[in-house]
Amino acid sequence: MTKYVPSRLIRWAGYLAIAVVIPYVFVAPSSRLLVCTALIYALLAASWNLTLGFGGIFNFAHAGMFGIGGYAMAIATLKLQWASIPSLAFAVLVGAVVGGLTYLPVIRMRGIYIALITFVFVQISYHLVLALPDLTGGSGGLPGVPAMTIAGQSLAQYGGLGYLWMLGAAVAVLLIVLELIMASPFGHSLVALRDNEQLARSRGVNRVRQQFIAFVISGAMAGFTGAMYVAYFRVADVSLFGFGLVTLGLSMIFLGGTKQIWGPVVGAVVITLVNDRLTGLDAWSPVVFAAGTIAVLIFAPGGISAALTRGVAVLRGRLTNSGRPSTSSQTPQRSVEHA
Amino acid sequence: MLDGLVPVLVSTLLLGSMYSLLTAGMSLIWSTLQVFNYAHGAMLIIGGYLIWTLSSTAGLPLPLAVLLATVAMAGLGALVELVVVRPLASRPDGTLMVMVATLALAGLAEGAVQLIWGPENKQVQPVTTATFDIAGVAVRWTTVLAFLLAVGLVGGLMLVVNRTEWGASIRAVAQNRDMAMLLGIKPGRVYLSVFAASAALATVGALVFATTTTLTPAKGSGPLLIAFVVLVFGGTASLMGTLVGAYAIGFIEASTSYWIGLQWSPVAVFVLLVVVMLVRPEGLVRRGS
Repeated sequence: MTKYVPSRLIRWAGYLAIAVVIPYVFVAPSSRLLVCTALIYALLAASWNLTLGFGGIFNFAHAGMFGIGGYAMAIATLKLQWASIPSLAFAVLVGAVVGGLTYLPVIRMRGIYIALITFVFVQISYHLVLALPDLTGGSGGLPGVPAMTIAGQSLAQYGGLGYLWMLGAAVAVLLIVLELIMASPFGHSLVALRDNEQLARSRGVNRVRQQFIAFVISGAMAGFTGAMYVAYFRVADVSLFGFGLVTLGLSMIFLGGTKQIWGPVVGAVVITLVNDRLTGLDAWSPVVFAAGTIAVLIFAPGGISAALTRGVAVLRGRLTNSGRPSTSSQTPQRSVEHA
Repeated sequence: MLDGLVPVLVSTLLLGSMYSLLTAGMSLIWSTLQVFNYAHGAMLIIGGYLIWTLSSTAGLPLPLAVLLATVAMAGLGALVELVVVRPLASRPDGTLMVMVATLALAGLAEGAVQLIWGPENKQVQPVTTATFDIAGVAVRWTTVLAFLLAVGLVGGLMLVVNRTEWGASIRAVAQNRDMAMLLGIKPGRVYLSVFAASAALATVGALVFATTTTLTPAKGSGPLLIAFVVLVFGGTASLMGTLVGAYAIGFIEASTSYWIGLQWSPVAVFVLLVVVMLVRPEGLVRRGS
């Protein structure tokens, strides 16, 4: 294992370096808006993949935890008049609690029923927001969320420089944290439960405990992401719980690929860019977008990251074996989601 | 409190009829393929618009318009199975893939409806606006018609599934796919027919939907979610359960809207669903053969 440490450290340094450099590459306000949007979606998709991809749980509720985190941020800053950092911490805490609560009805369920009940959870959130207008602003939402300030400096000044750094650093840290989680015994147990629950349990893995922890962690991440979304776009409204966001997040994850930690990040960036191009098409854009998503699901199983890793494996095989394709490239890793 | 009983029951009859027509198809798909079709609500909306075009724009009499729309939608349902579901369902992670793909399909349908019919509200004129009185409450004859259609069609479907050869092949694939294949049943054909039947039933549900409320491109998600609730409530794989569940959910929705308030009714329905799933994950109505 020790021989991987340097390459891992180099990769992590690379993530952070990209986060530092981003604001100098993207200077125009429109491209900065696009990059911030992509980074927020990258946070959403990468944290979602912890339960969906690595946990193999049909968790559709992540979008709901994201939305609730966003509302927690808006309520803390607007109604309670809290400063940015405590509000952000509050949103993370709320996300974690909601993540834990969401898992409770999932305990007794398997497979497809989880998809149903977690989807229903998002809908309950949507209707609760509408039913509690005093707290949530109802269908009008909560506009006018103040820009995030850290140590007296607004992240929105200098053309959103602070947001770019903060979001870039958040994505880098999230990738590192997810990598550490997946390399830990906890991460291994999560994957074991996905691939062969009977075997994992017979080896002493507690399904409920491990998956509960995964929901709490991913809920906290979703809460953070929602809070950043609301702090950046300065409004919380019911579209946070919409059908559209669930579809968008899922297409990012599956376009990027669920097998690699960075896969959903790639998916998020690509889809944000594509969506931006599509806005010129007006009413056609959702049609083209959805058709593209379906085409990717059918024709590119494993998504971009699987194609990339396969390509890299082939290249490596060419370099080391002078032309002989390596065996790993011929058998792309596929795992059985339901045993 | 009791003075609201008649309007609530009438409303239950209408909602339950609509929900049973919508959910019967989902139950059929679930029992054979073990997936949920997230585009089912979109099918209802497209069916409704087709009926509107054929009756209001083309000027056909409503029954003929419904018949033509139903046939067209059955074709569209089969197309969805062929193009979107079939390539994905056989994968190891097929269940999840089909759900994500049909979710995307729902988005595609919404955009397409917006392009074809525009964002304005559309409403289908009912066959009759005549009413009759029950305890001083005016009840539309169309409500009775909706009830007859729902019970007739879903009941008819139950007969077909239990008595005909096609029904037997559906049940065979649902119970043991490999064994069914050994007996010469082609699962592909069963899936195709199930999707077609499901879309056709949704179109009749769309008639009830489009005559009682207005159609907009984005309206598919509401009925879809109610169909999920009905499906779970009644036991996912039983048509009888679907029928009972549909009227039960219709009653809960109608009574909570009437006595507690319109905005709380979806919350009540969904909370009930969570409770049902916790207590009886197999559904409230015991599963038949």
